[in-house]
Amino acid sequence: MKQMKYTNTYLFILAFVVMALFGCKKFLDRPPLTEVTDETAWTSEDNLRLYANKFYPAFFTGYGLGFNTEGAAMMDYQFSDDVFLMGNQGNFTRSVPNGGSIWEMDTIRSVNIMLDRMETRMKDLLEEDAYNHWTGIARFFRGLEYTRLVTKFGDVPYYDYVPSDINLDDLYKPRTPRNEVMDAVYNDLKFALENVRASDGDQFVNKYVVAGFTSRAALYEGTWQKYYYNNNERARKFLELAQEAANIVISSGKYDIVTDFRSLFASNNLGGNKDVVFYRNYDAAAGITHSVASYNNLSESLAFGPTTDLIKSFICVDGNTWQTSGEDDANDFTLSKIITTRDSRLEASFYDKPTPKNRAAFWYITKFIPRSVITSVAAGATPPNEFTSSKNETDYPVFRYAEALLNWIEAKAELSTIGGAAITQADINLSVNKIRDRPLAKEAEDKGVKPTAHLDINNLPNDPEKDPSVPALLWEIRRERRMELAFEHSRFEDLKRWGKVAYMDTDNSKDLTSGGWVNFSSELPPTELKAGISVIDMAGNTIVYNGSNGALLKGFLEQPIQMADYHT
Amino acid sequence: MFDLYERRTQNMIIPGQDLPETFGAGAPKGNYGNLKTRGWEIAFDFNHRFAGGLGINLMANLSDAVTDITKSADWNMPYEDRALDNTFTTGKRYGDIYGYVTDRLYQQEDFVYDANGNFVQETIVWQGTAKRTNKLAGNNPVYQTQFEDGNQILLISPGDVKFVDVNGDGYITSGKGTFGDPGDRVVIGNSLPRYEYGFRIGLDYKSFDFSVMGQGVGKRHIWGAGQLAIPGFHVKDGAMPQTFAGDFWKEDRTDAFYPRAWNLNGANSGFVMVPQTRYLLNMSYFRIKNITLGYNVSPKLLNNIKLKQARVYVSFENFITFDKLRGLPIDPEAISGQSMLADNYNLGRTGTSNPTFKIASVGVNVSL
Repeated sequence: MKQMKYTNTYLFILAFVVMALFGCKKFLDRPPLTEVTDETAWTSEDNLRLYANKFYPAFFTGYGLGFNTEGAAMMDYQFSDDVFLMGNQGNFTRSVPNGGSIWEMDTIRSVNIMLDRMETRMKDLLEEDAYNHWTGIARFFRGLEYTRLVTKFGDVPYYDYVPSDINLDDLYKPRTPRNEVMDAVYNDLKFALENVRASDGDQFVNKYVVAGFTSRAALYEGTWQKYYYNNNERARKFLELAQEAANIVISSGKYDIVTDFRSLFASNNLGGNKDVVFYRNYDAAAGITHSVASYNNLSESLAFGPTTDLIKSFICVDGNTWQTSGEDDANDFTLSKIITTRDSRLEASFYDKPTPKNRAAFWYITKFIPRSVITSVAAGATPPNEFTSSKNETDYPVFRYAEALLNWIEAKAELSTIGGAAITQADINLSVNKIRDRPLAKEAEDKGVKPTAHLDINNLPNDPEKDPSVPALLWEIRRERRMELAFEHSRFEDLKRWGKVAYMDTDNSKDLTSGGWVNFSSELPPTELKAGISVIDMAGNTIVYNGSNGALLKGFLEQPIQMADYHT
Repeated sequence: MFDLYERRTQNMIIPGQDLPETFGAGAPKGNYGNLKTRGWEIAFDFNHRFAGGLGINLMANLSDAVTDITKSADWNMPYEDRALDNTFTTGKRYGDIYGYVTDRLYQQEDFVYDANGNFVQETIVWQGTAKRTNKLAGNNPVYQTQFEDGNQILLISPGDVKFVDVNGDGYITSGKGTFGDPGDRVVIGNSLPRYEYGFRIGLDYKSFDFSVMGQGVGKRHIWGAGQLAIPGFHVKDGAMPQTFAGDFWKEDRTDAFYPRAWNLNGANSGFVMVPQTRYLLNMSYFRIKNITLGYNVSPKLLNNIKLKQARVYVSFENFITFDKLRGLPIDPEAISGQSMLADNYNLGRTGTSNPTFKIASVGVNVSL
């Protein structure tokens, strides 16, 4: 009996020791077999590629995804002097956002994790050039993200490592001065420019994509330094980077201006297009579709349109402003007329008749939809399924060669004012005039649209509306940018970096609170004449419809201010 | 039978304390949570057959429990700095809803008008934020500029909700949202059911049998979600319950229950439609789950057609419900967002998940 008792005790101790050695921890702590975890992911270049893929939708949003148009062309850029909203105009951000989508550092953390894991676990796994390429990709995204944060907040806390969740002092550290952050961004982008591969497959970031976006970011910072901090030394540093980066795209010889304007935004396949440095591909089969084209389909009604200010800024076919142009009827803003007297991009951006489908301006934006769809909808057909709802499949050119040219010439022109080489006619020919030589669509030519005359550096247009503080050449380069990138990502950001947000002051310009030119009696059915409708004539006088003066309602559409929706 | 119990849950995995955005990810979860549940249960069973042949079977139960959060991620913060609105806050009762105490709706006579009948406006400064708002009549009126946007769009006007200034500081505010500074918010309800009860009565007499089963919840409140629960949830939804549509404030319906028409643009809380006593949904209910009447066909008759046993019955399920939802088409028994089809079904909107079915059935049970 006693023997038995001891045996039991030994057995018990043995069992305990066995469990203590082999039990519990390892047994319960099992990594999932069907998912990749931090422990198992950092093993191959393919996994790095997969990891980096998640940054693409945020930085190359294009037309957004499905009905989500956050960051999408046209739909998320409704706040600038280009866009007239029905009802109240938008407000500037008046308090520092605490949370929400702009104060967000998830991407920074993700990128820092990628860099940290590569350095600690993958140094021996990858060839040196692959290692440098992916380091470059990660630093490229970190540079872009910090540029975004800096453009929104100025000073932001800078982390080039993964902060710990228990080191609260580090997490609550004070904001890093803007210049320090941007120097780090400069180094990141420089590194990416030097190390990212020239080709990494279609739809993957390569050296030219890095160069394009670097020119955008550096131009932003360079002009900001020049106009806000009046720090010409730093301005030069970034403008030179912008110029250098844009020049990488230009001198590669891979890109050209060969596609008519509208087709750039309305193609189902931008792959291989020489005008496009990088594009977002939409494909219904893969479930990746968007809804922006549906807002251009002439059937969907829209509560925002062009401001009179934008319309007036389009250059005339002879290269002069509308006030000074020698074109016949250059001061006639009737849509059917103006499309033949203005730069071809005006015709490509709008439907050629006023329509109340654009409730704000009556000029319907059609920049982001194929011409064939507009033709058939105008003839009374319903839009094809593919151009309704969130079923759009058109690709978006997230970086166009034209922008590289515009960034290059602007950086160069800015540099010339702070000691850089002067701009020559050859520079203009390479950039602005190259864009003006863009082929026209057959449909546009049939309407009588002509290419715009070249910009001549010795004979710049004399714009009576020119801001006196801006040199004439720069003024024209900015105008070119405005026509080229209307309703896309850049206008509001441009005004900020130029220190010209005052252009959006509706107290200073009536052109900001009116839309397209409309002649109610000849261009619209009589039912559109409703009480309260008003227009502004060329002399700046408001004409309100009073029930009987319909024939006088000829001018830039000015809506009565209406109660805006309550947005939470 | 009576049970009294206390259950302690230790080291539950719950979200950690909020970290600043610079961390770049949500706070890691950890074993921070301790809960203490105290409750009791009574069950009752009674069988009797009377001399006349009437048999009776009675069963009933009643239970209640409350759960307190004894420890959460914020356990080492001072009590007065702990946030009211977190699901897990040390010292909070689990499920407690903090909200404002509704006084009534503002009426036209609460405001000051100029000679033309327009509102007189006044600038109210509260904690450094100046907002221009409609002037209220009377001495020392309590302003609610916290709910306004200062753009004259969200503007307290006749028909909007007037709250009680609980802390008496002269303004309606949410304070810091902490135990130490809850502003004018107090606990207005708890989303967990209290006093759950159920019973069954069975009677049989000769060949007939009859039973009724019912259940209910004595006390439960929620701040609903979606178009069926929140007045003015979203104009684009098109339809709304008649309860809202027929009883919102208008100039010619000043005694309405709901405030003036407003569009929250798809939010469950906004402007003056914030969690508050008046529009909190009272989810207590009593429901007759089942009524059955049966009749056993006499064996003599059955013998003729060679059957052992046959019972004919009529049964009604979920036919009668008593609730306090003012006619809103919401099933008080269903949990928002819970469905056999999907998690967070219909975005968790109240009253839009699978309803309990009303079933009337007639049947025959036959044994050969």
